[in-house]
Amino acid sequence: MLRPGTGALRREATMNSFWLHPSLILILGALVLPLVPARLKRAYLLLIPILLFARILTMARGEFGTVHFLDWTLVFGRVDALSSVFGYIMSLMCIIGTLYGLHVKDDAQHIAAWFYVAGSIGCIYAGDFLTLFLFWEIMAFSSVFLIWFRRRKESLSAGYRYLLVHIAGGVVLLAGIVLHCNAPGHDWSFNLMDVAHPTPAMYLIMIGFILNAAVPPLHAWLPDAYGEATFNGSVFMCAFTTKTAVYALCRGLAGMEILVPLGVIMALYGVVYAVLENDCRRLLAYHIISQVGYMVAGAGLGTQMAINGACAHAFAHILYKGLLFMGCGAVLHMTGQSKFTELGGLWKKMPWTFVFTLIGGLSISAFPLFSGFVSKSMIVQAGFEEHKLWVGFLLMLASAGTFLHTGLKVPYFIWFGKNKPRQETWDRAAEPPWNMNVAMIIASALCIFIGCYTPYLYKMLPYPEVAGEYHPYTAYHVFETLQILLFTGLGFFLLLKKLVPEPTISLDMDWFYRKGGRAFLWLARKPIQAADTFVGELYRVAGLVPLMVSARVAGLFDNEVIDGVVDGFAESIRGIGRRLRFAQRGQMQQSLAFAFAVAAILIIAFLLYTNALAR
Amino acid sequence: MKLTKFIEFLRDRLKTVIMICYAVLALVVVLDAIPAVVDKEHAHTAAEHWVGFWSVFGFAACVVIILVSKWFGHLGIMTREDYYEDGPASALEPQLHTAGARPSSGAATSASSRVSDHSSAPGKSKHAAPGDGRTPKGGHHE
Repeated sequence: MLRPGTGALRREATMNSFWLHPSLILILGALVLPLVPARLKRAYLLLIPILLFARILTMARGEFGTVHFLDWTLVFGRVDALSSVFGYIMSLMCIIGTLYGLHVKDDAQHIAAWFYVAGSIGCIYAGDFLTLFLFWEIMAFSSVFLIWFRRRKESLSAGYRYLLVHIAGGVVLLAGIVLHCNAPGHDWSFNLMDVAHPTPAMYLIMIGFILNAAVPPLHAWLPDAYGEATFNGSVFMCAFTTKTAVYALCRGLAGMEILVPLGVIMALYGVVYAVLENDCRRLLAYHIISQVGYMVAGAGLGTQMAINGACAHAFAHILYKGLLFMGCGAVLHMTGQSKFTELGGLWKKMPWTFVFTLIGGLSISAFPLFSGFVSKSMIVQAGFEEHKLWVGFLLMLASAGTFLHTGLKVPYFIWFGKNKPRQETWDRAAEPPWNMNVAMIIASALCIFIGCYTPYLYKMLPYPEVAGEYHPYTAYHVFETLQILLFTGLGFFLLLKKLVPEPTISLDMDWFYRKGGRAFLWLARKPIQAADTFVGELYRVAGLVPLMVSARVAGLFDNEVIDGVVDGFAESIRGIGRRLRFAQRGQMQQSLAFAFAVAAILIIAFLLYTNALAR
Repeated sequence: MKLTKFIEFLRDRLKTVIMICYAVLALVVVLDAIPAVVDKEHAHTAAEHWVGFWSVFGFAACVVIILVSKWFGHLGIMTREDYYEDGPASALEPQLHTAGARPSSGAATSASSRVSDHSSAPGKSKHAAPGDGRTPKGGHHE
């Protein structure tokens, strides 16, 4: 709690120079974006993420941005090995993601994405629970716009569900934080908790974290939202929310036993649902759940090897999953379709997108020479080393499933397969714009580079000396992996008939709040409608009816010249009346956007204030 | 485009490609059996010393995943695509469209369309804007 002594000491020790919070670059950059002239827009869109990346590369280790706020000591910048590796990859992904959506004209989409990344990076560098929570919420509230901006009827409701789940998770997290930090002997600093003796408060914090990590049964928001977001929104979303949660687990709850079985269940759960899925982006979303399962299990194992593995896998995952979502996003963007039953045989039209997606698929499947191979195996190895054989074998089983879907099913049914898309889909299909291709090339190159040159990634890990002793390219490991993957491939082609996608959706845990919501809606609608009808009637009677009547009365004068004028006047008044009705009704999203903008300005003021204090 | 030509080239010789794949599978198993190539000292369990253990594991894993998942899916998890559009909320759909189709009588919009109104009203104009930047019309992707 209140620790004025240490706080003051800390501040004196580290706070003698201006410390620029990396999130501030994105937030300010986003706010200035609408003012940038159109011809400079693309350069500016690239400049800000590159500045962010440069800032993170040049940041010294230590604790910065410490602020005393009422009774609390807030730490905005804890830069150590664990936060640096996450900060590095997230800012790198911000460059790739922005490049991918560079041609999107709508500024608001870029602003939402940047705020989202800023929230994520703020969480990574947060040194205390309150700062963590603040950025945690920024993340949820800004990412929902990436869903809404797709502007389908379904996107709107998917966005509300996403928000609902994350607000609920945020409340649980906050409750846990307050209980935990107010307990005797605890303060607000966000460090490894006493995982050997979990308290109810720690379980609440864990629930808050694992909801964002999409651990079943708290996972249904993920495929629901990521399948419905804009083509480039999903590229951002797949990288940040779950991986921030993985970071939080590694930081605060490493070694918490229960995370191991939860992670293994996740890894398999995602695989099972991916078999059933007909929408390629929802399939990829289920594979996020599966892959994050490895990381959650790694965090739960908690050994140095396992934490290294979780971080390495998060690093690799952000790139290859981004690449996969870029590939499928390109198909959606160019053809307007994302369902396997509406696609097929696209190799003639989008061959390069196929190659990039295949590279992503091989990386996620942990094929030798691709990034997943050098990261995933660390977690499996850690499981075996802890003599938890079931963990090792079940994670191996899940990796067979990963190759089956992401390496084989996705490329096969989109670019090959027997299915023929509709003529208009076929006519629209073509290679995507240059910037999308370049983003995919960069991500592909990094996936292969990480797989081929292991020191690049291993030196960044929290325990580099442990990672230095780990050698993924032993003959045994290579042959073990090749056998599993190649024979999975054999199984795929032998059972191809079983895997032909069906035009269905799969019920998941979201059933409870989607159908439960109906019941609530049904109850609420009657009274709400009654009130609304009353107000609507009031406006009509008090505002429009007299105007209409007066217009008609004027018309009765039967003067042809005056008639036209008065009718026009009445028409315009009626228009005003209509607008008045809409204003009174209020667009929920517009109000929300306004509220978030105000919140954002407050946060910036707060950050500036922090930096002013720091000086 | 050269890449398309290459894929076409492979597809024209599908039989040969399949034969090569089988050969690779066999080669991997054979190499795995030679101790000089693959040192199994670091294996975690005795089973891993069997020749082709991971091949069998991979194949069995694939079959089990497909069969179990499909069995699970057909228990009732897989359902029709408009499943969630049913129920009380779908009763609003026709009213929503009729409300949207009478733009001039905005004053008299029936209140029953209000619940889902945030997607109609001004949203209508948004619908017409390209949703993902490139949709030709309607912003609808399906």
